[in-house]
Amino acid sequence: MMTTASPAVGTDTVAASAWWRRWLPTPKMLILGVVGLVIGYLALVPLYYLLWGTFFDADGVSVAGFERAYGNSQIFELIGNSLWFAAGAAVLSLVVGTALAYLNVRTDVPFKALFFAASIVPLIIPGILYTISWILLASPEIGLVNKLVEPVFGSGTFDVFTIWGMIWVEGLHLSPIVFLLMVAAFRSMDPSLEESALMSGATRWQVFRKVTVPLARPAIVASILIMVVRSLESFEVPALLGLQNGIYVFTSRIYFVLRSYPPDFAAAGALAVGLLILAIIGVALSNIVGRSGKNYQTVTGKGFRPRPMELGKWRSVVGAGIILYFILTVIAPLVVLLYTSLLKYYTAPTLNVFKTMTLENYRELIGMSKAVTALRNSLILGIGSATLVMAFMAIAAWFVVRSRVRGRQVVDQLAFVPLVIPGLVLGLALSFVYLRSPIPIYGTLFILLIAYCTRYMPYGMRYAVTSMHQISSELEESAHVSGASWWQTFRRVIVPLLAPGLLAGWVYILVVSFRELSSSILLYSPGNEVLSILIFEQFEDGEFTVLSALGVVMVLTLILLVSIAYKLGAKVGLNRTN
Amino acid sequence: MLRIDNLVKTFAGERRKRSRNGNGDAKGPAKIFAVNDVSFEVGEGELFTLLGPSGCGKTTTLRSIAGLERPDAGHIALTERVLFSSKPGEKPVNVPANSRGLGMVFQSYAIWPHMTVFNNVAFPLQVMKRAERPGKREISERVMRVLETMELASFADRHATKLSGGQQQRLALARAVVIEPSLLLLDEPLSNLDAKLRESLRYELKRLQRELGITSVYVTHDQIEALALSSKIAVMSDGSLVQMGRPRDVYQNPSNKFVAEFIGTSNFISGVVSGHNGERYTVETNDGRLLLDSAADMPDGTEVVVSIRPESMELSEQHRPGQPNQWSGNVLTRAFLGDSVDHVIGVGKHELRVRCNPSISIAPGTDVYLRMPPDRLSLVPVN
Amino acid sequence: MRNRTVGTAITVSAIGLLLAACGGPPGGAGAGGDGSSAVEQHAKEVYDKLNGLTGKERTKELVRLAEEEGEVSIYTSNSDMDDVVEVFEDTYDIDVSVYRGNSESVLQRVLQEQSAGFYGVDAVETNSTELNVLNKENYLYPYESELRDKVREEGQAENWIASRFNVFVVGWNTNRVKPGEEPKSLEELAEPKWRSKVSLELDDVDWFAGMAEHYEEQGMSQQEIVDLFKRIAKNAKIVKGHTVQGELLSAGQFDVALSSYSHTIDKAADEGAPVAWRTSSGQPVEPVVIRPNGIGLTKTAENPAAATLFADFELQQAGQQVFEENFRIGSMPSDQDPLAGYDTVDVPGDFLASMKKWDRLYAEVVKGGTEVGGE
Repeated sequence: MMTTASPAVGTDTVAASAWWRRWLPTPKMLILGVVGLVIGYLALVPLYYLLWGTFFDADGVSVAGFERAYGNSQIFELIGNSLWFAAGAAVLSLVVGTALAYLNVRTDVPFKALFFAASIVPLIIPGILYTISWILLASPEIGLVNKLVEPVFGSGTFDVFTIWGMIWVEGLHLSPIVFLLMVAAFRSMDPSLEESALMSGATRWQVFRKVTVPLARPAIVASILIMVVRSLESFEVPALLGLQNGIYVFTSRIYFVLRSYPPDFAAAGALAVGLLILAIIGVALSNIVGRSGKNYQTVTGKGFRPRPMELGKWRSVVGAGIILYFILTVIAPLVVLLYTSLLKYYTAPTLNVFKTMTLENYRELIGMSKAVTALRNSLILGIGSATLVMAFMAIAAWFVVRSRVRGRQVVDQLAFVPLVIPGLVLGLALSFVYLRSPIPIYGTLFILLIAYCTRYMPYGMRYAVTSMHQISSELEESAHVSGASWWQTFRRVIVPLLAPGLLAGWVYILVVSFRELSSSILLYSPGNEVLSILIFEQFEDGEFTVLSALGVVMVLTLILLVSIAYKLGAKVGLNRTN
Repeated sequence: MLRIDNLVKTFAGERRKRSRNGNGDAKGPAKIFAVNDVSFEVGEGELFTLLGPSGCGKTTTLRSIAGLERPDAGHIALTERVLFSSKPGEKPVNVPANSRGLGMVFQSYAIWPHMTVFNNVAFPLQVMKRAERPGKREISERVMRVLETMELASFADRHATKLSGGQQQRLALARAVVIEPSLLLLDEPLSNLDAKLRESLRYELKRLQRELGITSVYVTHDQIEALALSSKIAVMSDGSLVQMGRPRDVYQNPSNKFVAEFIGTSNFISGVVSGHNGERYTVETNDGRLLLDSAADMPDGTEVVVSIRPESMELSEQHRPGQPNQWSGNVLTRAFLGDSVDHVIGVGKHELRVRCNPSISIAPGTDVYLRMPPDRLSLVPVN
Repeated sequence: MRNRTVGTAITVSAIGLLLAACGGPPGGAGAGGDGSSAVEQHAKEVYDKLNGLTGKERTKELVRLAEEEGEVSIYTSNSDMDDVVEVFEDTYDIDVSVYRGNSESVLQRVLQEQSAGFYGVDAVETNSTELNVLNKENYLYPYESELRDKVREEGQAENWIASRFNVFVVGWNTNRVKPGEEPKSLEELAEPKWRSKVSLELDDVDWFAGMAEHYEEQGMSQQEIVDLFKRIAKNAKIVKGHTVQGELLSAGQFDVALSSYSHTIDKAADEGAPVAWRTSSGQPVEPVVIRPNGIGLTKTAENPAAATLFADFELQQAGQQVFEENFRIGSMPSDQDPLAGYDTVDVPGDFLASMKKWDRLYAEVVKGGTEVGGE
């Protein structure tokens, strides 16, 4: 794909042009340049801040931060726990997300609509609520599920306060990222590729293993990359579930060094640098995988008809499995939330409790003047950052995958950097820069927009690059030969073909931006509150039941938004479902 | 019409590995010539075929004409218009692909799956520069006209992906010719179809090309396709052009063993030139003397290979006195092929393949006579 | 080659842009606001003028100047701020804009803004630790008034004033701890019978420091103190956040929470949750640790009078009542002092200076205990 796929950037247009005209940038160069610059700028501001804080102190260059971060007798135990947790969560989310995506896109599984909703709801529920719901469900002392199975298995069957519990909760919570990535990948895959393997005598499982999975490799690699880094830096689940039994992870240390005053940014930075190195290797690896170019170009110029695989007698079994999964991961936590939101304080359900249920919490929510502003701002920021990020990343993905510009991989690496930068550090870096910059955006929604775009750039890039790998370069070349300029080709051929991936990324960013807190809390200003700030305030105030009500409202709002997005998306993009 | 001079394209060894597989680039380590000093000319209305095995450089040559590949050196001109030029001391020219105004059919058709049949064909018209772009109605008329020619008019509103293989192929062609390009490029357009469809489309392609009168450059590795379609064939091997000529000339008088082997099947008999008189040569071989006509200029004593097509030989059980190049042999095997019967004849140490009319079928073990008309033998230099 | 330049150009110009935007490396935070700035000068004049006045005269002038300013910006981590602001805005013709975050982000935000010479905040309302940091960084202007002198002694801090107290108490679930079985002291919770029934909060270093100092005064060595807490931690489930702790306590995940806020428990109990921090006879586990939360005025306030008025308001009856309604303990001693008669302990005065030490010790306690607790 590299050498023959596209014409070199910077080809000279007209023979007779004067020397200076040849150096005048073409629109293509200009667009790519701007996108590259924006990515570089967004990534390097916090990175520079992070590295400066890590390596420089009052006396000059220093690596004392590394000593404080890693020079600890427990560090191996921490890293061990972290790796175990990250690997477990990554594997679980990968398996669950991939299986759900495959069943949903490639088979005639029942309850498809329900299924799709079920697969992304865990993403929508704010992490802290999702985790607490699980405590209320599967704590050995008070877990409702444990109470349910007590007559059969005895007390405390499930224990969420173990490394397995942590993996379970984190894995399920992250699985929608994989699901969205894989749905996009599977939608763009010609079923005849699998059918031909079936005809060659392979069993369905062999086909899945030997054909489907290898074809989806770019998406799988991207998923693993995001999952591992995300789990390694996750703090919510380890803090709420791990601490009870003394399971400490890598991020606990970041938390501890940032906690006291003055915050030890050098040590926090040193830990983040460790993650950064891991992430850079990951991106490089994913590029090596993607390099075998044509192998993954499943969107080719030859048409294919989507034909779901018939599950036959397995259909009802799988259907039952889906209902079970739906109940376990969506209904159960949601019901706990809904139940809590109708109470004044949480208590285990009894007949008496049902009599005391009220809508008081929802009334309080409606009465909150900030709630409307916050919802509006969150919508503006969510839709704004999702759209901006996906638009830029679509171009950046072309740049990384298709262009032959030297150093294009740097753009990919840069776009991934923000994933390892702690939200607090990003907030500090941005406020540092824009408090001093002549651009007057400090204290406005724009600074939050920049923060969100920075934070979600890595996800957008993964979604866009993965989809780009799937599009055959001939589709682009044929447009080029037909006389279309680069921009026309991009707009009319590439973007529609990327649509499933771009939409998935868009949905992901929209949903998670609603919960972004760690950098928002430093950067928002009065009047610019967002929903996550509201959640934080309710949480700090100990209004757990109001918080649950807010969670329910958020889930409903986002489900509505996501459904609309997919309805609209089905009209513009690659329509393969009818 | 199209003139290509001294085209050169190299790939660095390291980059080679990443190159797309199987679409016609040379293999091997280090810096390698994908196209090495290729020159040819295509006349107005001709269908010019670049023929060769995969990895011979034919696709790279085609892509260089299209502007999808940037050659290292050479000169490409369409009538008076220079499309590419890179000669030392001269100002370099490289017109981008989208300004060359050519039509191209890709191996995988490259039909845009998100557009309807109509939109696929309309695209090249819609993206024209504002000044040249036809109006909406004209676009619609032109698209429908082309679709009618291709017998696709009734599918205009369908999604392109819902067409059958043959229809997709015609759609790709429709899209390539809708702007009435001065040059049409075809990159193995038939290779994705099954044998039967391929044959019928082959003739359709030839008919369309004649009807439209578009000068075309056609890339294929299928010699039958090349022979059936082309006005002129250029055989390529390892990045170089090894023979160029009308299909019949190339077939009957391969200029070297590679061409003879690649195009059709050939029998090869090695020998030494023992004398010549004008164009009539005498060649001594281990199994006897051969007389043949050749325009080649070879001194006596040159080591040569004599090639002859299986269908150019005659087989009979009787000796026919007075005829030259009559050898005796023994039938080893035979195979019925429907429209012909192949016999393998043992002559001395050689095994020669002879293709006969189905009315002739001789049982293995029979002694036979083999006649090779001097005008059907060609002299191929060793090396 | 042109191609090569594109890649590097991106990197180089991005760094360039960044440097241009920063105007230098972020290491040199320093004092951005130079002392002679007009804002600071103006604020000083107003503060000095007000501090020079007393009684009715002060009040009159203060309200006049404050309403002239017409607005005030407050950064806070106080969860009752909305209620206070509501009453304040009803009383005066002044718009209050509130930035609310956790105490760390309040602190970081003020530090960032002040060092950049951006004067976005007039008054900071947060925990004692953070206010002491701001004072140390020399960003606060002394608040003086007659009200200040009436505040409970523990709350009269240097350059800022406490408005309310956070009271750390031992809370329990009344369904799981029967009357008469309530813990009598912290030491008791180290006994094996409380195994897995106790909860410690991950971040309550100041509570730990207060208790540690209390035990030190009683003659225990530091080693003994750490050992005691480690034994308690052995029985404990570690929880992060008081809200989660409170919620899990009423749900029955554990029986006793060591460093709950009194207002968290009181509020939950008011809504009917089975929790308490005092026995039916009104006896808490003693001592209780109190930590002041207060308000500090910034030197660079653009609305110094309004900020001063707001500080006054918090200490007056109206402000204190809001805290009381939210189950908080105000800094003004009142007739029904909820802490009257209880043995109280302060967070150590030098907590800021020795914070790293306490932090390390508490982390050790919390982790040390769980090695066993994890089974």
